[in-house]
Amino acid sequence: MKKTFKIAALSLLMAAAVVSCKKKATEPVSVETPVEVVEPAPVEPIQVETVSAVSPEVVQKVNDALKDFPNVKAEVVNDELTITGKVTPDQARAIKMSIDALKVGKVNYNYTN
Amino acid sequence: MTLSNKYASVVAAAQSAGINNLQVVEQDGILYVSGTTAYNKSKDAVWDALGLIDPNFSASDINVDVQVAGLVPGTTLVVATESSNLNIRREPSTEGSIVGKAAKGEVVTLVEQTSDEWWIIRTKDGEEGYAYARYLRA
Repeated sequence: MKKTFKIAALSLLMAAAVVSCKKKATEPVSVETPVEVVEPAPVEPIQVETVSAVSPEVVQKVNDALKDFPNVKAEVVNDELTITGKVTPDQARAIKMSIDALKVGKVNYNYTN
Repeated sequence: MTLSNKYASVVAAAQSAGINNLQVVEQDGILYVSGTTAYNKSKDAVWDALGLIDPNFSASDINVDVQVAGLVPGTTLVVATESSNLNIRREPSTEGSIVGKAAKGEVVTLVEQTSDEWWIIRTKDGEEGYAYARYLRA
């Protein structure tokens, strides 16, 4: 009887220990890690700054660009610069190189070949 | 087709040529391609690429502004007019009085890149003044 009682008590003790271990093993471990959330800087789209085709400085620069092409004319209609005349492709390239550098917005190159 | 797609080869040429501060911006129906380089051949490469798409250089939907910049004073330049002499002027304008001339193919010396359009140069004869930069090749 005493022996049986001892065995039963020991079994109970062991069962309690197993439950206790399992409980400890399954308990979630909380780790406090500070997390800093950094908002990405807003990306601003690049704006191209254009100038007015009728400003005196731009008019002079357009005249300078076309000085060597007497058959080419420039005029501004509805705020748009329009280049007209008869040119070779090489001349057209040189003219566009100079005019594009002024950044006057839309330019109409209405050449006749 | 977007403008970036239409002119992809022009942008690629600018990247291959190592154009500095390259910016490609589509704005108000125009693709703006801009940057700087120290070499005329790099600038030429971008314009050659555009010429393959637009042989008459009459497109209104692309604006190419690649400038030869950052040249050191004393750099030698070659006059690259079509055939005529290059006028050297007292002021940076075709209204400025002429103080000298340089022939096509003549080598001149850079004094200062005062703007994209006008550079101060000096000829071997000592004539110094503003010349239109489009006709000067580094």
